Amino acid sequence: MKIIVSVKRVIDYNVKVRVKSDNSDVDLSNVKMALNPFCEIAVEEAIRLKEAGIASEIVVVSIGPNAVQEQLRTAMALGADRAIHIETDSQPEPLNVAKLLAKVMEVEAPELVILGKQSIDSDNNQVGQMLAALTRRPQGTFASKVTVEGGDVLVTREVDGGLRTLSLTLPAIVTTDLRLNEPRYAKLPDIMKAKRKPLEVKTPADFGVEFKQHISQLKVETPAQRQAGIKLDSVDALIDKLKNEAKVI
Amino acid sequence: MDTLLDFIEKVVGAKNILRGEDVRARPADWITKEPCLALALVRPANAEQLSQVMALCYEADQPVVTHGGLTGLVRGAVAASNELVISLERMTEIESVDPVGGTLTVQAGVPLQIVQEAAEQIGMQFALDLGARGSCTIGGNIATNAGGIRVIRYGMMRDQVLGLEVVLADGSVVSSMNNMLKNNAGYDLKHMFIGSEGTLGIVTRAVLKLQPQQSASQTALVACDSFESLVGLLQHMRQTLGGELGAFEVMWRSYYALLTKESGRHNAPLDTDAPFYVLIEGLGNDQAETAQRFEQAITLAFEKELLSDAVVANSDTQSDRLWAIREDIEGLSELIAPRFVFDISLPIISMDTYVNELEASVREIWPDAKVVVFGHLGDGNLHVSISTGDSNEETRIKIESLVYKPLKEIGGSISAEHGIGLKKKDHLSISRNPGEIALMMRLKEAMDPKGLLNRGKVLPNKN
Amino acid sequence: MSILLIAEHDNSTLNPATLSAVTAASQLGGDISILVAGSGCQSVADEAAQVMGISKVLLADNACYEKGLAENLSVLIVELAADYNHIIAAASSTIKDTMPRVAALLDVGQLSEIVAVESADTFKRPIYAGNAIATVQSLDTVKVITVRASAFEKAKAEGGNANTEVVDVVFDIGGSRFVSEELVKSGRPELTAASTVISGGRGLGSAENFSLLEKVADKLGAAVGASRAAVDAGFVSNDLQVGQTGKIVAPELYIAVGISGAIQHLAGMKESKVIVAINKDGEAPIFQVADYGLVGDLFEVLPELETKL
Repeated sequence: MKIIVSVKRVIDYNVKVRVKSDNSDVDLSNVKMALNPFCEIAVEEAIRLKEAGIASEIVVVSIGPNAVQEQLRTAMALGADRAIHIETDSQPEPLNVAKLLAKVMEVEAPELVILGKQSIDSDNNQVGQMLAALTRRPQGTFASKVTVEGGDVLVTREVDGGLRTLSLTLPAIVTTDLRLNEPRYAKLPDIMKAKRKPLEVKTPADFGVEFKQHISQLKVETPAQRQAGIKLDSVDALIDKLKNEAKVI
Repeated sequence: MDTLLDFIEKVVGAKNILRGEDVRARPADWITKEPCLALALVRPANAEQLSQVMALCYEADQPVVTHGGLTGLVRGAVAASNELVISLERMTEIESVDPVGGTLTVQAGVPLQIVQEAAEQIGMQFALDLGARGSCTIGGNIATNAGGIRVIRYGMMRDQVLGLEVVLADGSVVSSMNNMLKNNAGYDLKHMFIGSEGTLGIVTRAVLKLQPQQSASQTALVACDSFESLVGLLQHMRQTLGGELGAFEVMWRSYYALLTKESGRHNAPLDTDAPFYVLIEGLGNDQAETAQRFEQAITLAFEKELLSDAVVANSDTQSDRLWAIREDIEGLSELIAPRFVFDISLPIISMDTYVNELEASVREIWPDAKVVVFGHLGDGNLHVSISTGDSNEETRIKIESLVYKPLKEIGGSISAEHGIGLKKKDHLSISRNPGEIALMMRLKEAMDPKGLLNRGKVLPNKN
Repeated sequence: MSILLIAEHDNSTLNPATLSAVTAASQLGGDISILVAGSGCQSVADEAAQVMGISKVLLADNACYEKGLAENLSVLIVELAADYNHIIAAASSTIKDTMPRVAALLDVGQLSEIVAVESADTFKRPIYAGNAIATVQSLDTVKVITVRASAFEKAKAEGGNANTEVVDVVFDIGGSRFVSEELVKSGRPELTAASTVISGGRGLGSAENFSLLEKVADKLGAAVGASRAAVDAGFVSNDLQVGQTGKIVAPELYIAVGISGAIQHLAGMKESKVIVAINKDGEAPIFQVADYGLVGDLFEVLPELETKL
C-alpha cells in the first residue's frame, strides 16, 4: 500500500523563541530549523510499516519555501521513497494546507496518510482532521499505536484519561502523538542516497488551490513572566493560597 | 573551639553556620556518597564576610576546606572532622554583564550552567562546558582549571578568566578584577590561583571572558574501524571544518557498547561492533552554511574511509540524545561499580598502544576486569574506568601503578583536567619533576604559612 | 449573536472543563445554547440546564454519539451550525478531534485553545508551546473556537434554568468503529502525566520517611517524585527522579519538599505552573523559583498538610 506523509519545517524544538521587538511575530532569522517532531514520528511510523512489509511506497509532502527541501531530503534519508514539494513563500493556514493535501490525495490515491498531530510553532492541531473531513475519510488522531489489518487500520489514541482504540476503514488519516515511536537517526550512506531520490516541485496553482485567509495575526507578545514568589508562615496560609489564589487544589 | 564557631556565627548569622546532623546530611564526595565529617559548614554571603571568617580561622589555626558544587573526582573537597568547610553556595550573584567588552562578573558560587545561560541572554556564550554544568560552580571551575568538551576549540578554564578576587589564608582580600584582554603590568597573579585546588586562596569573584555565540551546531556520531583512521579523521575534521570543530569526543567500544546495547540505557544509533566511536560537533554562525560544510566534511571522510558508518542528528533533540550517551557518567558509575577512575593525558599517537597494554596488564591479574575508556581525543585526554569487582586498598594501589607507570615513559600526565586532590598526590612526581614540586611547595609556604587551606591536598606532606 | 457550545461529558456527568468554556462563551456576548451529544446522557442535559448563563440545551441522544466519534459528531454540529455565529468548546481530546472537522466542513478557520477573549472576533492564544502569545482575529462569519479550560474561571454549575430541546437527527457516517478503551486506573498517576507532583529530597532523611510524602500525595491525587540527591541516597528508585537526567515534568502544581533546588533538578520542573517549596533552610535556591515558600520542618509540615487537605 502507498502511504503519504505530510511534514513541516519548523523551528528546532530546543530553540527558545524570541518575540520581535515590533511584536509582529517571533524572530526566526538564523535560528535552527528542523522537521517538526510529530512529523518526524509520522515519517518513522511509515518507515516501520514499510519495513514490516505492509507499505510499498512512502511519499513525503511538504508545503513552503525552497528551504523545506532540506526536510524532504531528511525524510528520504530516513526512508521515504520520493518527495513532493509544493512551493509557496506564504505560511498557509491549516485549512489551506488541508485543501492542498486533499488534492495530493486525489492524484496519489494513498491508502494511508500520516501526519503529525500538530506543529510546534503554530500549535493548531487541525490539519489532519480537516483533511479527513474534506476527503470524507475516517481519522485516528493522537495515535500511540498503529496496526494495519487487512482493509482496516487499528489506531490506539491518546485521549483524556487514557487510551482508546478505533478501527478505521482504509483509506484513512492518522495523526501521531509523542509516544508512537522514537524516530531513528539518518545514516550517512542514506543521506547520500537521498540526494538522488526523486523530488517533484509543484505550486498550489498546479493543484488548483487558491489560498484564502481566515485568520489574521494582529500581534505576538512574550508571555507574562513568573512573579517573584512569597514566603508563608503556616500550613494554613499555604493551603489558603493554593485553594483561593492559585486555584490548583 | 566553640568560641571560634560563636565568633564566626556573629559574622555570617546563625542560619549560615551548620553543625552536627546538618553537616552529616551533606555528602563529602559524590561518588562514595560518604557523609561530610567537618566540624561545621560556614556559608558566607560575600568576600567581606569570608575575609572576617578567615581572619578568625587564621588566629585560631583552624584549617578549612572550600566547597563549590562538589562534582570533583579527586577527593579535593573531603574534609576531616577537625576542619571547617567554607561553602560558597550563597555567593551566586551575577554582578554585571558587559556585552560590549564581552565579559561577565560573577560571584564564585554561581553554577556553570547559570553563567552559560546569562551569556546566552546577551547573545554571547561562555565557552567552558562539561557534563557537570548543572552543579559545578565557577569557583570550582577556576580552582581546578576545569577542561571539558570544548577545550579543542576554546581552551581550558584558564583561558576564560580575565580577573579574580581571592581571600587569602589570613583573611586579606586580593582583588585582581581585571577586565581587559591585555594587561601586562607585573605578574599576572590570577594564574597562580587557577588550578591551585583551594590550596593558595579562596576565589570569591571572577571576571569571565565571553565568546560570540555559535548558534549553528551540527552533531554526528561516527564509527571508526581502526586507530589510524580515527587519528586521520581528527586531522581531516580539523582541516575541513577549520575553526568550526567544536568537539571531538571519542568513546572506545568498551564505553559505547556498555552504555547502549549491553545495558539498554540508550538506544544504539550505530551497531556496536566498531572499535571506536566519535561524537563530532561543528559549531558555526550561519545555520545553512554550517550544516552544509559539516555534511560535506563527514561525507568526504566517509569517501576517504576515515569512518565506516555515521549518523547525523536531524535536530537538537537528536543531538542531545547522542550527547546523552557520551555524558552518562551516572550510568557508567551504576553499571560498573565499584570502579577506579582515571583522568590522564598522553600524546595522541601513543594512546592505542597504551590502552591495549593497560587492558592486557589489568586482565593478567583480574581476567574479568572491565576497562572502559572515553575521552577528549583532540586534547590528548582520556578518562579510564577500571572495575575489578572490589574496591579495596590493595587493588587500588595495584591498579594505580598499572595506569600511571607507563605514563612517565611516554611523557603523559596523571591528571589532565581533574586535578590532584587527595587521590593523586602520591603520584605527583610522575608528572612533575623535583624542581617543579619544590617551587610549588615554596609558593604554598609563602602564601599559606600555617597550612590552613585544603591541608594535605595536592602537594606532598612537608616531612 | 448566538453561540453554540459543545458539552464535554462521559454520558453521565458534565465535565467541569465545560464550565470554563461557558465563561469564555459568555464573554463573547449572546445567547448560549449547549449541545449534549451522547447516548443515555439525559442526566448530563439536566446538569447542563442548571449551569448559569445557558439559555438552551440541545440533547442529541443516540447510540451513534456514544463514543464521541469525530466523524459523526462533526456532521451533527455542522447540521446545527446555521443558527449560530460562534461554535465553541473546551479543548478536550474529543473536541480537539472533532472541531477542525467542523471548521473544514463549514469552510472556515479554527482558533485553537484560546486563553483570552478580546472581542467577539479577536482572541489570544499561545503559540510555540506557550513561549509566545498571539492575538488573532477571525475573518469568517462563523467562528469555530476551542478554549484552554485552565485559562478561564468555571461558570456556576447551578442557578440556571434552561429548556431542553431534543435533536433527533442521526448521523452514523461509518468508516470509524470504536474497539476498546483503557482508562487510567485511579490511584497514583504517572509522574510525567500527573497534574500535581510532590517530590522529596535529601531532607526526608530516609526511605521510610517517603511515606509521609506519599500520604500527602494520595490526598492530592498527586504523583511522587524525588531529587537526584534522594535517589543517590537510596531513598527511592531511579525512575522517580525529576531533573535534567531524570524525568521532565510540568504539572499544574509542583511541591518540592526537602529539596535544595540544584539546577539539574530545576531543569526538570521549572515549567510547572505553580511551584511550592517546603524546606527548613530558608536560603535554599528552590525558594528562588517557588511561587509559595514555607520555611519549616518537613516532619511537622507534612503530617499537618495531610490532616488539613
